Amino acid sequence: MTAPRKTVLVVGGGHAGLEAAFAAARVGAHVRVVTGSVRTVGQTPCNPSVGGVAKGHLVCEIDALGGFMGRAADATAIHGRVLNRSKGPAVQSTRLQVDKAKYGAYARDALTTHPGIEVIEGLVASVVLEAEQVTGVQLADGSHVPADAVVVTTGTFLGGLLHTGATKTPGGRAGEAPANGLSDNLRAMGFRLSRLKTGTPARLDARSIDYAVTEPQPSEDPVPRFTLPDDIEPPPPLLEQVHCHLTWTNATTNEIIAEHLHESPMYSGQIEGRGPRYCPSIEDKVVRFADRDRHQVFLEPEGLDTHSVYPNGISTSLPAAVQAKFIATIPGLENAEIIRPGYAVEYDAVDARALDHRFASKTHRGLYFAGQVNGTSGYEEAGIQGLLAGANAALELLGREPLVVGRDEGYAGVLVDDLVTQGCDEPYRMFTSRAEYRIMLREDNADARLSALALQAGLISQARFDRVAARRASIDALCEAMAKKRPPGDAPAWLLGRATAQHVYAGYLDRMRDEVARLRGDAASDLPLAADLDYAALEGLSNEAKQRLADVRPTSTGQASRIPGMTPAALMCLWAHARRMQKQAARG
Amino acid sequence: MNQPLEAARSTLVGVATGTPDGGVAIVRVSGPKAAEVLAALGVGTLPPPRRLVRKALALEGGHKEDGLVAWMPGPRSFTGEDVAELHVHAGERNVRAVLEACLRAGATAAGRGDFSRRAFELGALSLDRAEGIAAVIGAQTDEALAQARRLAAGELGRAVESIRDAVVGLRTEVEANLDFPEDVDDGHVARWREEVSDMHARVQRWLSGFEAGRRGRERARFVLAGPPNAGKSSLFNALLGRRRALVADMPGTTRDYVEAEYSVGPHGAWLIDTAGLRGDAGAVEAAGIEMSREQVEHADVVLWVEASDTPAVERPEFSATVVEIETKRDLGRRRASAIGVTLGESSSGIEQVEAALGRWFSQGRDQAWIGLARHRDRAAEALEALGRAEALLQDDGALELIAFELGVVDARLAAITGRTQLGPVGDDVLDRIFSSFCIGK
Repeated sequence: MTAPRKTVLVVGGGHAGLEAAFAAARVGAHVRVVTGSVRTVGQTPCNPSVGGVAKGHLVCEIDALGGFMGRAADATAIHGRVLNRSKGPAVQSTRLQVDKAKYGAYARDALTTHPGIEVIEGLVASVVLEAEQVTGVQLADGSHVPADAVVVTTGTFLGGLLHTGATKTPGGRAGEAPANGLSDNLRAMGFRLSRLKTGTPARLDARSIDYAVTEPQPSEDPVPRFTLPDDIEPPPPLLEQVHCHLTWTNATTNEIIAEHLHESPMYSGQIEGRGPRYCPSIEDKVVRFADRDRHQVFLEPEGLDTHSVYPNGISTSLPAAVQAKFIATIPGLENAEIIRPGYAVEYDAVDARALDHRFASKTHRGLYFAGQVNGTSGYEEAGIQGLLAGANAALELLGREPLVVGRDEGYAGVLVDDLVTQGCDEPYRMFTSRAEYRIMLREDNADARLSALALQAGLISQARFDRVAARRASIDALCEAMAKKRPPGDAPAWLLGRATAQHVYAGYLDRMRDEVARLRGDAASDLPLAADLDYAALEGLSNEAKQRLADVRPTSTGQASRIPGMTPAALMCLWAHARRMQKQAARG
Repeated sequence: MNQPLEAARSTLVGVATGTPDGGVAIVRVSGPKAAEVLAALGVGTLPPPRRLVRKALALEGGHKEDGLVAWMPGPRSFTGEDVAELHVHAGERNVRAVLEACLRAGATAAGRGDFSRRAFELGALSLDRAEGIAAVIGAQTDEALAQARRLAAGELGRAVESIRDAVVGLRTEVEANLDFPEDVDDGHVARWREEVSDMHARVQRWLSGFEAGRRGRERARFVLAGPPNAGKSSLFNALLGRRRALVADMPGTTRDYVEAEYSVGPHGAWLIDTAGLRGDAGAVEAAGIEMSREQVEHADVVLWVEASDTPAVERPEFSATVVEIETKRDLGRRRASAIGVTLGESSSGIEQVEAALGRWFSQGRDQAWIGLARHRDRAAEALEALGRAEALLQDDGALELIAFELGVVDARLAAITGRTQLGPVGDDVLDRIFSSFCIGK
């Protein structure tokens, strides 16, 4: 008789939920996924693209950790480019545009056929607890689903509210009901929720667009991919590739938007949530960059079997009639038919400072959060969080070592540490500039950086690990040949590219490590801090420092030093305390 | 400076006045328990902030000290925390009694520079200004005091911040180019190159003014050197105007080195007489010669002395400035370029030597930089990184490497003012990116 398998329950089937479910199952837990509808699993409700600067790095890391997103994007890509081609390999990023429907179908198929994963349709109303330990969830219909750990990946559905002009519709995505009960439940459990906002543009009918006056943007040849040619599981076949097109707004467009600004819920005060500065609505662009007479609009097809086009760059929550009016001023879109107007969505996000580096709640055992609910934006940011949270939930239940990626090991590590240390007051997106080890963290070495961690957690097979090791050995050999200016032989171009990247930065790695060590101070002085440390009672801290520390509850003095606004005096006091505790512990 | 870490954010007490033999001494208390210390001294209600109020202070044995108390609650105080200053009668025993009363009330004795350190740690004072305050206290010459005052007033910090601002501005553009290639126009490499070489020139100017600044504030070391029996000790005495070194006609009379305080106008210096440098000497004398070689190595100016009645010897290479002097000019003239000196009854040439030393002090004074050695080291590192950034821009190097070098420049400059920088790009850079570029397609 074996003990009954432990169950990880994942709330939600978006990009975080999918990765969480697959990772938990791979580690060895039994997995239940509760989703509103199996039909909407793996949606790409914003633009149908995967990757981009720094985001492509995250996708490669997901792939290296045995995750789903890279392969799914490869299988459904209809357009692909590498951004930052003119710069060094560390900042070059793959971006694929996917067929929206095919991506969803691929995800649905993978989820429902995956061994060890059970999918339940329903809306989670509350997390069920027994003495601060998670025991399952309660659904809106009153039924109870038991679980040993729960991963919440509700995206924009917590308290979701859609805005188009003055019209407000409760919803997590167009046409889907929000999860309001869970929001109240989490608040009652003591989690701080903040209000964030994001938006999406109208969708246009390709047949009504005059492409002749726009600038075509073909896919790169060969089409870049996330999975590697020599992977033990060969890359999926490539779909037919399509063109994107570029057009521009003009002075007339801007005038119309400015004229109707008061009708935008962003400016009328109807929206309270904070939106991302890096992904502004067209209203925002017109107001904040009034001196710019035009803004670019990328026309991105949403799939091979649909006429729907995503006009990237004109996200808006203006009334539908105003949207139609300003879109008609854009060259090529004079007669464009709107399939569905754009909208803004406001939602509740959990303050991720309540979580540790595994995305586990510091107060409720067995409860994890991942994805947009933690205040991030983007499929890639959501995916990596889901993977880490799902794997850690399973690892904890099986009594194994946690999976924690360091800031020097991956963008995954940067993302986790930033989120749980700093929280966010606008939706968090990954940038390469957030990574102090930027030149070490390349797309092309994600496998080398993370495979050992992946193997240890049980996320990849020994065979795949061995393949990575062999690949690494050939790259090292090529790199050595380059250093000695010997001809590298007849290696395939993609392998040569990797060796070149390694070669380019070889002289910088030690200096970069030294620089970071200098900024951080001696790593040996990074001491652990107790989770239940009473900061209010700690002598010598200012009230402000006490508040900041109590908000984050850092797990080490190193993490404390990265909390914004910490003074050297507060850090020294904290360090002195940690050292006293360590000495006491040593004395027994 | 190094108080034990366990005592961080304790309440400090120390005597804030410089000399204990005046009429009034000021005892300063700073820290979270400053109000408690006042209460323990019997100050019932706190005086209104930043006003001197007369109070009877309770000391041990029931004694009362009639003093004035100033209460300066943080953050508007020198250290940034609660500060009380007690103006009490001076005198070692009385001041000690007041200090002990404060210590009994829970304060910790402050070490040298601890109050300034507090001020820096709490962000009330930048590091360069704290160093300036220490320099004002330690200044031994008028020139040193003038420089220290400028440092304490934040002049250096402002210059550093102005370049840092330019570095951050450039970094903003570079980072925006890296992270938002589709939103931001491609690099303006030609302009960036100009900006970096301008920054390079500015930091270079600081560094080349460092020596002039240091000459101004430190006691210079003028070392007399030359072959034995050239008249070094006689010249030493003549310059000082009194007999100090032993003078005799036998080679090797000076077996050790002799130093004395010396001044040229407003400038302070040490004048050092050494044993003659020659190859064949006895053991004791050899040790003395070894020591004089050391003196010469650390000299600011070497006064190279030879006599007109001996043939010229081959002079060693010195890193310091050399002033060549020929003594015994009354006996002849062999070295036309040297300053001729005659010592004895009708001495001549001393004024010319003094004038040469004065010129050494004044050279480059208009470019004198007030930065201290620590500032020079950080600035030199920033300069190196600027040089590498310049080279990368010249050779169309990878943008992320240019960003890396600019990050190093920023960190080193920030270290001068003590503004620590955590992580790769602070929020200041991201904020600048979002306010200056229209990001988001």
